[in-house]
Amino acid sequence: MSQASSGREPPRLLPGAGRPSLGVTLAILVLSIVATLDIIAATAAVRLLQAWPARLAGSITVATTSGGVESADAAAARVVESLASTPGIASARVLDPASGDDLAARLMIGGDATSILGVADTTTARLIRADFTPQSLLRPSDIPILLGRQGLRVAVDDHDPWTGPVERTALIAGVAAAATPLLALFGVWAVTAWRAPRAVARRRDRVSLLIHLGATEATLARPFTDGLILAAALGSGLGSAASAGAASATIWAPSAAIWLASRGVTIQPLAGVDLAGVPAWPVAATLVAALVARGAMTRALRELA
Amino acid sequence: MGGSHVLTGEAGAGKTAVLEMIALARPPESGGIELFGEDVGAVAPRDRHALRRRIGMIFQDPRLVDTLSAYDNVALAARAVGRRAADYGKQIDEVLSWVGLGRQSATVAGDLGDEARRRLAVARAVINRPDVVIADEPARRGDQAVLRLLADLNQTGTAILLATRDGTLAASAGPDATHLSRETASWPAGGARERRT
Repeated sequence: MSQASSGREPPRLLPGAGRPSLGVTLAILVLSIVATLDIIAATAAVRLLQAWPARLAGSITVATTSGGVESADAAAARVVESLASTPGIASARVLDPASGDDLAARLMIGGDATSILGVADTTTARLIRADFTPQSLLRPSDIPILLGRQGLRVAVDDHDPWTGPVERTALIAGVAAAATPLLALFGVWAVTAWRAPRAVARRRDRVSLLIHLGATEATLARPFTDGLILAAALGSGLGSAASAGAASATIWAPSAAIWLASRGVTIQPLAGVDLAGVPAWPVAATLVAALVARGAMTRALRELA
Repeated sequence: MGGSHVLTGEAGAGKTAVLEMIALARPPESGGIELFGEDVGAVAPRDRHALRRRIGMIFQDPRLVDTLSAYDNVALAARAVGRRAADYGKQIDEVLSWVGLGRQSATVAGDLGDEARRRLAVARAVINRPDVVIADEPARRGDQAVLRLLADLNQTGTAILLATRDGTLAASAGPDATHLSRETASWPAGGARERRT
């Protein structure tokens, strides 16, 4: 009775060749963690930067100081009241004094505060944010004149000129951040190309025999290629999952972010959308591994043929 | 009936090298080899399997997979060319019976004796019905079983190319024999490179 009819498994051409290599899997896992953490951080950074132009457009910061006996808060209240009743101004509000002082101090350190505020003492400065209506005919340069008529001494910072640099910074940040995943993909390429001929060499006798028995390159390459693709898929999948899991913890379990902060690790605010790019990584890494493995296997097999 | 040819010569004369070049196992360093009407050197590496499938190779060292059964060693050759178990199962039983290993089909190759291993190598070489069988020292002196199998095969139309140091066998082949020697070939020390047969 033939073995086929007895239902026994036919012999495998290259037993074990399709198993993923632990070394390749671990190497790609590490590369994947680095790449996906970078993708998440870059996405968050670009998202935050891209949000700024929308927040800046059509708005100004009005800086005022107390004059004479009037307190800084009273002066700020008058500015808000005046602006709120001005046609073409949609809203005006005093910024939190703490953050206002902080911003003013930073502006002063930058050397521009005096020209903006017209004063040296920022402790009495108050910042007011005002938003124009979409159809407003007012220009930021009109505001000091308008308020000056009411005895209010102010300086105006027009936000519109800042949108260009912020947009350019977002673009630069995005491009710079893309370099790390690209380098990691190069790493996947290198690991796969390094491993392919060694996998064939380990089964040199069997491969050589099968070549003489008439096996095609594709038949011989397939199990090796499958093994490398599986290693890349496992490594990149697990690495991506680890990064996504860590990022998710900081988003949905604030205690994790607090725990990290208590150890001196400050994480930029993440959102669920920042994880959107992560699934692309295992696909890209596996695709690169597949392409490299196929070429490298063919070269390795031809050396034996 | 297929043709037959015997390649003779002392050890190191280059018999194995010539057979390996014909079987596309090594490239010729000079000259050319025509196989089934094709210049072997002009065949792209990816297409060489088509020529190899028309050759049944019996190596000097049988190169069996010792951990596989006799049946699986033959099945490996069938699977290497993409055949399915349902297609080759019955044929393997027949071929193993023909070489006298019908009852040892499940025996692991590593447990077979030297002569049985050589017969198993013959079974593996013929399972895909090659046009020519190339046999490198397939039989030890006095071992007639494998030579009889090859003669039977030749009778059924399969060409045989055989390399041997056995002078008696070469003499019996008459004009269908080529003798290789280091002196007459005048190739560099270390063995012959190539010779047309």
